[in-house]
Amino acid sequence: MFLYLPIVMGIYYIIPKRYRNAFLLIANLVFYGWGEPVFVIIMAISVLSNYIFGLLIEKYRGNKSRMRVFVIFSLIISFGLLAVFKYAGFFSDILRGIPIFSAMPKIDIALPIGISFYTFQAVSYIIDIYRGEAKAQKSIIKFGTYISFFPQLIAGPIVRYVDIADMLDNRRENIHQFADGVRLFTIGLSKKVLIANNMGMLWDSVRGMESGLLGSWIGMIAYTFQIYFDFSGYSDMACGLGKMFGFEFMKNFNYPYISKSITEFWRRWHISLSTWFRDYVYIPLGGNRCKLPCVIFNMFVVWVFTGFWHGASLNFIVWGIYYFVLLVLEKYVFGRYLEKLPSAIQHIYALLFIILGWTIFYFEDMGQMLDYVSLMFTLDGGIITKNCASIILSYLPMIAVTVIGCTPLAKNMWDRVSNKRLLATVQAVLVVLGLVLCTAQLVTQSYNPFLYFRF
Amino acid sequence: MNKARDIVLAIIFTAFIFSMLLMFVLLPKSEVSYNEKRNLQKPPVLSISSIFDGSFEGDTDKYLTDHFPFRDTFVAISSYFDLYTGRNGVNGVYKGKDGYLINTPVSDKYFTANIMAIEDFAKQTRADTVLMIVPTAGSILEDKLPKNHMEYPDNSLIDKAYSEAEEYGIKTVDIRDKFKGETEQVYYKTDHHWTSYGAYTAYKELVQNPYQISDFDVKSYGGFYGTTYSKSALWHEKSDNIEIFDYPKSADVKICDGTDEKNCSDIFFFEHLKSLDKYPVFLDGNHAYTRIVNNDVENGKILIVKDSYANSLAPFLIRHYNTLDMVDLRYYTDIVSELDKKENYDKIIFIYGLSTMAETTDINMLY
Repeated sequence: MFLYLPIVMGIYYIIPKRYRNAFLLIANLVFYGWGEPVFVIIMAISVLSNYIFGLLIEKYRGNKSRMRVFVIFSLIISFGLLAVFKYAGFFSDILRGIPIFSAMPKIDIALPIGISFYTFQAVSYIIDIYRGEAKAQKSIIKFGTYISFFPQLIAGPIVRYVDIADMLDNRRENIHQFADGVRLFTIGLSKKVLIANNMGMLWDSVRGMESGLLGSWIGMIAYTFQIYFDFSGYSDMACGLGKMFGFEFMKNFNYPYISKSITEFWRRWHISLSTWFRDYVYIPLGGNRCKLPCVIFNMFVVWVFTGFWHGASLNFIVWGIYYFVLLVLEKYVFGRYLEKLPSAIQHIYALLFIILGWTIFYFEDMGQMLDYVSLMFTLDGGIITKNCASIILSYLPMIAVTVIGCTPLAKNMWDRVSNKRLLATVQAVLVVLGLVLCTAQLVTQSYNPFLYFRF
Repeated sequence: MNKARDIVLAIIFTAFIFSMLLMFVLLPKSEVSYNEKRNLQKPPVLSISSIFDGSFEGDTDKYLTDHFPFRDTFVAISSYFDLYTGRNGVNGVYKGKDGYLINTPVSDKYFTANIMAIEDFAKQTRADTVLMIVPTAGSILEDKLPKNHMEYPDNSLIDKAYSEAEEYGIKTVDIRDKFKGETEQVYYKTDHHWTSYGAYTAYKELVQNPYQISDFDVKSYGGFYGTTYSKSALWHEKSDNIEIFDYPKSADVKICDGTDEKNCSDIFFFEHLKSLDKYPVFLDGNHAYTRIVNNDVENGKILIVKDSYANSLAPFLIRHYNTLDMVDLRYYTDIVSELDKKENYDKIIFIYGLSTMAETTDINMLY
């Protein structure tokens, strides 16, 4: 961060405007190749093929059947790459479980970072052109920059091509946007480093010890916090860095844990992903403008794939189906009654199922998951062990801050202060403090695993 | 106004990241980290193959984090942040009362297996066997710990181990009550070891007619910062004194690490008092095999199988035996039962800190 960022940023602002996209592309590829140089090749294949198909589709606009063929070819390549590099191991493991295939070798392919994100971006590009919502990008440099843009490469948001097309061609970086970016980046970094990492440590300690009923719940709640602050922290950093380079991305999270229902939660959680599935899967399938069984089938498809997108493992599919069931129930069975309940109960209902959802999400091994769930719902492990209570007690101040951070409370208070000069000072101090503290924690824990690496 | 505010933020950010880069480039790089007791990453080697197998990238990352400007300061900021946001002990060390930095409780992963290995060894030797487990500081200094701390398993582990060991005819030496009743400092504040006084207290339990404190010439040396200090990264804590219980007549020491042999005429290695890590003043730290000979005593030949706790205890014990051999299983590659057969020891004493007993696997390699 302290080597790459200043160098890239320095050069970016020194060179003339027309070279900036090309420079960004090179910087992106260096960033991407840093961990696994080979994966740059896969990305290059994706960029090249989609670039060419984009141009072809545009060229044959008016000839529907030919356009379709190109779309299908490009989708086969995109999803083919995704299938091979992300899901081959999973499917071969399932096949190997069947006697006839048991002699099949175990497939173990390393997952290229960010492939789920950039594949989805490439697909959005192709379909937008097909639908005539966007023009094909003539410059491979600009297209490559879009697919590989380093801030959002690893953890999103998934940026639709139409939203960014104009900025690729002519963007004007300005100081106001840059300052916004600094603010957002610092907030994101603090969310990730100060909150998510520490909540992760709490979750790891609780998971590794005898905890008891209350302890196991607090452990799971810590994980619930970790995954949100980790993911939204990365998204904020991406948006912040994007702004510093003159790009505007959509907001990816909107305080998901203040939702009153699961339906609302999915409108607030990972918005760029749910939008993608809505626009490119749910609505093309017919959305909700068909008969009831068809709508339910469409929802089922969307949620199985949403689950599966999160990782090549059975538990993610179960997790998707879990949300499918909840959403169908809310839509057709008890949604109406839920709305009439006191809002406190609605919040508790939503949070309860969100937390249980993360339990399914976390444990890849169903046996382990059931063991943990049984801890959460029986008194086999007692209420809480002494050691677990001691750990949780020591995290209490951090948990309090985290809870406040899940709500718009701080932002509302901030907006209400009228003394702008005071705010400016406080803001500058907070940015410095945030940067120093995050640097300190990062330097201290060279151990810093990223939760969303599998996407 | 609005614009000025934006400019300030932009300047803060760019100044921060650029100054870090600049300092990283300009500041001199040290090769070792004293607090971590390890060599720091060397500059990465650039070549086509190192780029493509990812080692250049990996080494660069390590090099950057290892030589980050003001690394120790940042680590301390992080530790104090953890401490003041309630998470005392999160990095494995509690900041206790009166300047005590105390390790958090150990996990008992290998404890049972290690005790069994000692029992099996005791079955086949003809020498008397003695077992002394040194409890961790946290289990003894209950009143020095912060109010909110995890439970120390030491008592139940030691009770269980001792009652089992006694069934195998091993003599056990329990120092817990003596240590708890002691008003003098038995553990260092910035290190996990017992103090010389602590070792002396344990020594009195091991022999029949121990020497009195007045028989020794006790000298105190300041400025000792030990392991728990390094681990905690709370650089504002005060240093310890390290005491040397010197005896007018010294003994001959032979230190052997594999084929390397070194003969010395003193059991204290005062040159170590000059460096930051002062505990190796006792027998030059840990070695695979050490022999101490005291010609003032005519007979008695014992073996101590040990970790670093015994280093400060051996100088007391040697007053009572002609030959004292020490073996550290973390470094010793030969077989202890063979050594026992060759040397025909009168007595074999196992002296282990509970943390080594619970968390390492080397004790399995007795025979």
